[in-house]
Amino acid sequence: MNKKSLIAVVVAVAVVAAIVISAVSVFGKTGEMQVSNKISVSEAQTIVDETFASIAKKTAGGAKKVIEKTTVTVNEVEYGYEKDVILSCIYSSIDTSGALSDNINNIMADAYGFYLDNEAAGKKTNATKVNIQVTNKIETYLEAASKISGEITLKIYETDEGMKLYLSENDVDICTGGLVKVAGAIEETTEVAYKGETVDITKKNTLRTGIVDCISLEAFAKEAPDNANAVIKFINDFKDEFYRNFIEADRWMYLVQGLGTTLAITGLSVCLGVVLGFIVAIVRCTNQMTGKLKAIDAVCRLYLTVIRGTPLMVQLLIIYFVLLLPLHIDKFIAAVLCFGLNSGAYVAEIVRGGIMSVDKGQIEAGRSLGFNYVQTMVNFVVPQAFKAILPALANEFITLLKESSVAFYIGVADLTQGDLKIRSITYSNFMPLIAVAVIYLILVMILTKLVGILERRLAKSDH
Amino acid sequence: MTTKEVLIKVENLQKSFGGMNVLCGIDIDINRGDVVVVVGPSGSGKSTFLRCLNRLEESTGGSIIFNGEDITSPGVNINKHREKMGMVFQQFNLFPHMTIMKNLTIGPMKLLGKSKEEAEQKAKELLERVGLGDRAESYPNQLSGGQKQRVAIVRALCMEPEVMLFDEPTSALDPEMVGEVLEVMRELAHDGMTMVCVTHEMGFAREVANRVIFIDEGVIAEEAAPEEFFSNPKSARLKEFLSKVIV
Repeated sequence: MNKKSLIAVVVAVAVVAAIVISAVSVFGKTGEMQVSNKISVSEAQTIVDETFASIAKKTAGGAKKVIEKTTVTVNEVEYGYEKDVILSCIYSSIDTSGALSDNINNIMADAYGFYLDNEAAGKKTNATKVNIQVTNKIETYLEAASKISGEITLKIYETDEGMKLYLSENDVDICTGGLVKVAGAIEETTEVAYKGETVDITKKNTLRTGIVDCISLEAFAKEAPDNANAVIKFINDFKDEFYRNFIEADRWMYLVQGLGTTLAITGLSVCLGVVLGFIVAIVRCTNQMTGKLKAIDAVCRLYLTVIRGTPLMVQLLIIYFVLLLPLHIDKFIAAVLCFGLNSGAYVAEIVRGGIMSVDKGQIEAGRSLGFNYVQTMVNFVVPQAFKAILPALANEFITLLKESSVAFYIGVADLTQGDLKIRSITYSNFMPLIAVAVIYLILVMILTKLVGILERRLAKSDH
Repeated sequence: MTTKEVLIKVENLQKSFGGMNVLCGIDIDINRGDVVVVVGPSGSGKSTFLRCLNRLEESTGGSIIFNGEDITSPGVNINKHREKMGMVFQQFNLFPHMTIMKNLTIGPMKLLGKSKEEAEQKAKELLERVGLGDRAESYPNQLSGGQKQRVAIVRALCMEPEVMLFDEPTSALDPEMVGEVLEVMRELAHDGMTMVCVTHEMGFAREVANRVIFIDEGVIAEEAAPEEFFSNPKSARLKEFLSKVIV
């Protein structure tokens, strides 16, 4: 085996191994435990409780009230691959969003009225006073809120400062019945409808600060640490991509169906090409050796010139769109016909070379025994020519297998088309393209191996 | 003296390549049982003459009557006649992709319609006779030159020919292998096979042939029995030729 094919084999094996690993991890259990110590459910519960307590401690007003009414109960712990512990939890809280979002303007208008009244009375208004006023209002709404509960997955990460629960904004929002979103909505409010007119409050800083403070939340970690083992993270990303491109919605079937079509097209065109190639080659050799069959030889030469002188894709387009489409002939047949005709021309020249390379003495020996020309060709010349041209012939078929990928230009759903379908759904290029390349590579390697076996069997007489 | 049956009657045989006349009118009657050795300087046309006999070269004039039929006439089925004319080549021309047994049996089976068993038994018998009984399953390239040529002779014999044509059968052989091939040919001659043999083996000609012909410049320049041919050459050209080849 030479250096080039060795490299090809190594690359192929690596890619296949990567795919196998990811496939195994897709269907298998999540990776090994990466945290240094296991923790129990009750230990996890303690960490969760402490985290929520510390958020409550750093929060005031309405937000504090909501968090105090929120409980998160850990049911189960599992170990992830990012030095993390995955907690399956049940949260229960009040429907903050339901209670407040429809009343945001009421709250604001109330605060604005309080502000105006103070101003009219000549009193100085500060944020704290507004805050107390708004908090009272919010708390009234929250008292009336209904209870909610549900399931949530949280993560505890191992950090330099020990095990820490990281809560994203979304996590907190879910656990608190929409508190984060409501707080955001209040913060972004710029106008208040007050007594039938719309008031811009962007410049009223005291007012705004007082309102926002009573509901804002800042005391939780928003970003989880990047603890993942690089290799495992890579495999995991790979796994996700793999899942998205092939497993989800059975997208791999596009490739399987495409592969079937590609093999069918290649197989049928190889048969057509070989038959055509041998006929043309024998006609041409006969003409060359005996001077007979002049007219047929001229036709053959024209065929060879046209096919070898124009690009395959142009031939495909002409055969389908110009010749066969008006006859309503299927594009699959068009592809087979085109590739068969195309490979026939190349096979013909390969075979002719092979036949001409067989010693003339072989023909004389055959003829001297009494075999006629055709019998001599079939029994003695062609088998020897076949052995000589086998590597070139195999190359031609391998080329055909790969070139059949242009069939997608006329819309045949071959392997390349399968890749295109997946990419148009998932918008990721890497996986589908690499998968298609690997499939072609594996096919070619199998074909090469088979030809090697055949060659060794034919070489028996060369000892 | 018994009456001789003419097997091949060659009349005014001519052959030209392009504008070159290689054979300029050869006349000879080859009788059944004759061992004719053809000698001559290189380029004299002796190989061409031999190859014209079974039409591996198409003659450009004259006729060849074989078994009473003119095989140079256009309508004749030359393949049928070739079955009866075994040919042995300088380069052996065994079929390298077939075992020795297959080399020997493909002709009889496909052309003479013999059964596999029949063909193989005959081949086996003949192989034994030339001392190669144990090589039936070998491939040609596993044999030495001498062995190949003996197999080539057997291949021709398997077709049960009426005449054997030898085209310099020992010229491509190493000297120590020439003997084994000549020995087979000698036996063949003793068994009464009609043979036409182009060769440079003067010893063989002297010992085995009953007729020796000297072809020079496309014509039979001289013909005689070997004794006469070698000891008493008539033409100056033959004298000169013999003085060069017999040291």
